[in-house]
Amino acid sequence: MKQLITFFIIVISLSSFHSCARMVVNVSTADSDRVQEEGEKYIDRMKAYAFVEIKPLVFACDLFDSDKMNTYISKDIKEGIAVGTIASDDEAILKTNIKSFTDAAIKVIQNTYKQATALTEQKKYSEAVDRFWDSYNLVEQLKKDIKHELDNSDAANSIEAIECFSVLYAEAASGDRFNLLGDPMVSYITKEENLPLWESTYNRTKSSTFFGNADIAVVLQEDPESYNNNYAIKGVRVDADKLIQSSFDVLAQSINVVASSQGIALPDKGEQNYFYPDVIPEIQNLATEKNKLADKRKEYEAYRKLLIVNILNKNLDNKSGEELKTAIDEIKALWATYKAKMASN
Amino acid sequence: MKYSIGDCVKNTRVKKYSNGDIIALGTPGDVRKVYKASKSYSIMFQGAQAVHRVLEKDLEAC
Repeated sequence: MKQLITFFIIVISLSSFHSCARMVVNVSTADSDRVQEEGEKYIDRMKAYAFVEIKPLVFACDLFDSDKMNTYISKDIKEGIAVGTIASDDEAILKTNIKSFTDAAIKVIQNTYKQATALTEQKKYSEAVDRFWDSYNLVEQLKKDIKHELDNSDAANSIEAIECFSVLYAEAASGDRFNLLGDPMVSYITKEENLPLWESTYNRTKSSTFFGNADIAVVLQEDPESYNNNYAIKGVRVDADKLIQSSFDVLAQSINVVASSQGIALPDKGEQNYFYPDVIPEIQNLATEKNKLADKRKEYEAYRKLLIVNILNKNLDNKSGEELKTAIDEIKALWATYKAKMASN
Repeated sequence: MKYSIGDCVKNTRVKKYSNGDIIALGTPGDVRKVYKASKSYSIMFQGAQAVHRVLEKDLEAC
């Protein structure tokens, strides 16, 4: 959880009435110190279980097989005799002495590892991790001692057997990054009782739509290499270090959602680097278009009144036959003229 | 351990090494390395071609 810097939550509220929807996007930041503190407990738990998990593999290493270690030590001593540093007469006693201290060290390592496992079962994760590391340090010390006893370069066989432990342990200690569902911190930061973690609003974006309902989808990237620092809102890729920019993108995104609800084609969302979506000109100029529509409404009202006055002046109730027909034709012609005027503006 | 690096020690037992060196009884040499676990020393004996590993029980001080 080294990269545990900041978590974000996006709260979306939609309220719709008639044909208008309002969308509010809040971007809040979690208290990273508190999350970090809690995260360390989770890390200890995760590591302790990782070391328990590899226990069968670790104990299957030749290091813990007394006979095999004996063989490796013998081989290393024979190599010392072959290069002339050890007298063949001393082989047996050297073997006995080196084996004796190696056996003693292995027992201590085994016990330490078992103690650490027991502490894990007792949920004393921090102490357990310390004990696991003690066992690792004991193995490293044994490696140094055997290397020294067997004149370093001559200890190849024994050292290779001991490396089995070191490699497995280092692998478990490094751990893989969590995927989203496996990350215990996701559960921690989203629990209701932990809502106070989200104490600061980083940004708030509001947007109104004019047609239909608005909708938004938030997608956390599942790629373990990047999800901690990336989330996507309907294809808008946002890096944690570009948060300020993201607040504007969210606004643009809300417009895109409206556009899609009206069946207007959007840019290809499958594109990985779809960072700045193109905004449809008709939607972008919506405010101007709205003003034009209001002007047209006023104009329409004015012509409508003129037409009604003209109809009343014709006194149609008192006309009949050819006279009535002529009056109606004149009203129709006048309406056609008004329509032509409205269309030309 | 009885001896330290640089100490003068003598061989108390005839030793024959695979490189052909034969270390006679009482041959002096100086301690080059100490091996605690196996209670032995790496010694450069006078007249020898290379250093040799000798158990502590087969040495005495000069």
